[in-house]
Amino acid sequence: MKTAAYRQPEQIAEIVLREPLDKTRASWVERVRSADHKVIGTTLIGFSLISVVLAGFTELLGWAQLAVPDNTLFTPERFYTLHTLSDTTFLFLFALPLFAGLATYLLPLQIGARSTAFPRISALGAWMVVFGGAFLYFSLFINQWIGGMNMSMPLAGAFYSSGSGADIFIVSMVMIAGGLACNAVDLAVTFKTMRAPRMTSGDAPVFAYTSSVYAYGVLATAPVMVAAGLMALIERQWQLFGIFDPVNGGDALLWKSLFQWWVHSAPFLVTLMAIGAVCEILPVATRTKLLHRSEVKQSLIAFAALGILSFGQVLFGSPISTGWKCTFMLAGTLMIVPTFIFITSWVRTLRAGSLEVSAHALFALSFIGFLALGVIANTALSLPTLGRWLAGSQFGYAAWHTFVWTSAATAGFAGLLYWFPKITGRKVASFKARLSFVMISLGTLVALFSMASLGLDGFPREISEYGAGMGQARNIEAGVATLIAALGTIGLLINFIQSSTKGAPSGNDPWRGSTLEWFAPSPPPANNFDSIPDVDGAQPLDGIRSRIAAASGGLAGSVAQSPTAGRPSLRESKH
Amino acid sequence: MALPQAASAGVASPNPGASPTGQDVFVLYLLVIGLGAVAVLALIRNLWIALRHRPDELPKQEEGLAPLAIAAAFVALGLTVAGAIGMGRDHTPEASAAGTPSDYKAEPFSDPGLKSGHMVKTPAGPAMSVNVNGQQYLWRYTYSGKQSGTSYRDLVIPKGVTVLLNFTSSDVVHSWWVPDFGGSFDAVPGYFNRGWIRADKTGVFKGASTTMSGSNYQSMTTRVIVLPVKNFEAWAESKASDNSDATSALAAENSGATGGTTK
Repeated sequence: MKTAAYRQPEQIAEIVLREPLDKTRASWVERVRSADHKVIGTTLIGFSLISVVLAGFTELLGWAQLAVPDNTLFTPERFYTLHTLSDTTFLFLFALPLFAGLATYLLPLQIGARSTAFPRISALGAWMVVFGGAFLYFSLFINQWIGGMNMSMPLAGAFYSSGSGADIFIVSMVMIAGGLACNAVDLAVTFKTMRAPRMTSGDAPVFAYTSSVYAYGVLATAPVMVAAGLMALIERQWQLFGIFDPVNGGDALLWKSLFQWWVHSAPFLVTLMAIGAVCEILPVATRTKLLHRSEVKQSLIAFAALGILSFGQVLFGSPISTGWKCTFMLAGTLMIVPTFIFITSWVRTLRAGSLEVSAHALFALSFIGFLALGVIANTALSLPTLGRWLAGSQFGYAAWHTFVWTSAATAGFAGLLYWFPKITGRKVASFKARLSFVMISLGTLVALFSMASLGLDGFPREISEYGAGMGQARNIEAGVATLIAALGTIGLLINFIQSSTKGAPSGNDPWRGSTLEWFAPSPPPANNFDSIPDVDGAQPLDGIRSRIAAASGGLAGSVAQSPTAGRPSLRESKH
Repeated sequence: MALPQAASAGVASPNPGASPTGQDVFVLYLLVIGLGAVAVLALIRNLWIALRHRPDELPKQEEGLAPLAIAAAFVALGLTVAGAIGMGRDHTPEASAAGTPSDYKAEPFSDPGLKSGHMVKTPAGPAMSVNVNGQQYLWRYTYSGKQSGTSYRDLVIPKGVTVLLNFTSSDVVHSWWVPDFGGSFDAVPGYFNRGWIRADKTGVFKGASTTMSGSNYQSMTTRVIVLPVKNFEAWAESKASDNSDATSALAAENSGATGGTTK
C-alpha cells in the first residue's frame, strides 16, 4: 500500500470504477467465504442486531417475573437461565459484535486501505462469535447453565455442576472471546501497517484510532478468557488436579481474577468504542473539527487501560491485600480524568460549531449524559467500602447496563445511523429514527434510575423472587421503561430494514464528512479505493475539497461524488 | 420469601445503617453522589450554553485543558484517599460500647488448611467473634466463648458489642450482605475472610446472599437479630441448654420491648 502512486483529484475523477454499484449484498455462500472486510463487518453488525432482539426479549421476561412479588411465572432455574442469557447476549452477542463490526467495516475505509491485513483471520473470528452465540442458545435444548454470567468456581466445577450446562457455557465464552481476539489481531495490524501514505497515527481518524486501542484492549484480555476457559474445561473433564476447585488444591479466587479480567473489562471496551464513534459524529454534525484531538487520543488509551485494571472491583469483598484493593480503587477513580477530557472536548466542539440536529446527532448527544452517569456510578463502585455494598445490588446491575446497553444503544445506534448511507447507499427515515431515539433514551433513563433506586433500597441483583412490599412499584416501573426502550429499538430495526431497500439514495457524502470513508462511493466497491488519496492532515477531505474548488473555480460540494461524476450512479438511475 | 428491605432508607441513598460500618457506606455514597451531582449540573449548564448560543456570540479564545484535567485528577485522588480511609476503618474494628462486660472475648480463628488474605485486626477491648459459614443454601453461625452454640439463618448479637465475623464456605462462593451493616463479605471456599460489625440499635435486620450460588440461591437469606446484652445472655444460656430454634420468638418479644425497628 505504501507504494501506491499519489493521484490528483482531477485524475481520480476520470477513473471509472470497475465494480458495479448495485451489487452490494453478498449471497449466503459468498458471505461465508468472503474475505472482504465489508462483508465480515456487516455479518457482525447483522448478527448483533438479531441478538439485541433476543437480549431484549429475555430481559423483558425477567421483568415480567419481577412485576409481582413471589411470582411463580418462572421457576428459579428458568429465571436464572433467562438472566444468564440476557446478560450474555447484551454484552457478548450485541454490544461487542456491533462495535467490532463497525470497526471492521470502517477501519480500512477510514485509513485509506483497500482491505484489512488479515481478512481471513477476521472472517474466522466473526464466525466464531456467531457460532459461539448460536451454541449458547442451542444449549437451551440440552442443559443450560443457570449460574449467572459471572460464573463462579467451584460452582461451575464438575462436582456442583455435573451436567453439560457449564461445559457449553464455557465453550461459548471461549469461542466468543477467541473470535473477538482474532478480529482484534486484524484490526490492530491493519491500523499499524496499512494507513494511507503520509497518514500518521496522530492524523488517523479518531474512530480508527479507537478501533486500534480497542483491539489492543481485547488482545490484552480475551486470550486470558480463552486460557482460563480451557483450564476450566480440562479440570471439569478429568479432575486429576486442582486448578480452580479448592477441594483438589485449586484456587477459587484465581478463577474469579482470570475470568473477570475479560468479563469485567468488556463493558469498558464497549464504552471505549462508543466514545470513538461519538468523537467522529459530533464534529461532523456541528460542521467543525474535534477540539483537543490529541488529548482525546491519549485519553482513549488511559480509559481502556484503567477500565481493564479496575477489574478487581469484583474482589473487594474477598480476602485480598490492601495494596491490591488500593490499586483497583485508584484505577477506577482515575477514570474520571479521561472521561472529563472526552466530555470537555465534545462540549467545546459543540460550542465552536453549530449543531445540525439529526437523528444520529441526538443519539450521540444523549451518550454524553449517559457516559457521565455511568462513570459516576463506576466511581462509587470503585471505593471498596461502598463498592462492596453497591455491587451486589440492583445498583451494580444498573451501572453495568449503563456501560453495555446504553453505550451500544446510544453511540452504537448513532454510529449505525451515521454510517448507514455509506454501508447501504441509502438514508434512514429520519422522523422514525427520532421517534426511536425518544423511546430508547427515555425508556433507558427511567429503567436505569428505577434499578439504581431498587439497589439503594437493598434489592439484590440477580434474584428470582421477593416478598410483598419490597419494591414492586420500582420493578414494574423498570419493566415498563424497558418495554418502551425495546419498542423503540424494534422500530429502529424495522426502519433499518425498510431503509436499506426503500430509503432515499444518499449520495456518497451526505454529512460532508472529513474522513476518507466519505471519499469512497456508497456502498464502497470491493477494493474501496481505485486510487489511494493523498492524505494531508487530520481532515483529508477538507484538503481535497479545497483543491477541487481551486481547480474548478467554484465551490466544491460533496467531493466524494466527483470521482463518479462522469457517469450516473446505477443505483440512482433506477429511481 | 424475605429480602433485605429498607423501610427507613431514602429513595436516593443507602440506609445510614445500624453499625459504624453501615454509616461509612452512607457517608462515602453522599460524597461520590454529591460530587457527581455537581459534575452533572455543570455539564448541563455547559451543554446548554454550547447548544443555545451561536458560535460567533461566544468569545473566541483558546482554552487550556491541562489545568482542568489536573483538577479532575485531584478529585480522583481525593476520592481515593476517602476510599482508603473507609478501607482502613473496615480493617480496624472499633471498640465495644462502654459498659460491655469484660468477659466478652474474641477468640482467634485458626484453620491451617485455609488461605487468608484478610487485613482485619483484632480489637483490644471486649468483643466477640462468630464463625459464619456459607453453604448451599443457608448461613451457619457458630458462636465462640461463653456464648458457644450454633444457629442457622439468624445471627443473634448483643447491642453495642463489636462482633468479628469469620467467613468460610463449605461448598461454593457466597456473599453475606446485610445492608444495615455495610457492604457484603465473600465466603470463598479455601479461604478465611473476616469482617466486623457493631450494632448500635436493637432490632431485626434482613440480609441476602449476593453471589449466585445455584438453583436455590434466592432462598439463601439471613437475619441479624440485635438484643440488649442481658437478653442476649439469656438467649445464649437457653441456647446452650436447648438447641432448638428459639431465636425468632425471643427476638419478636424483645424487639417490641426495646423499641427496635422490627422489619
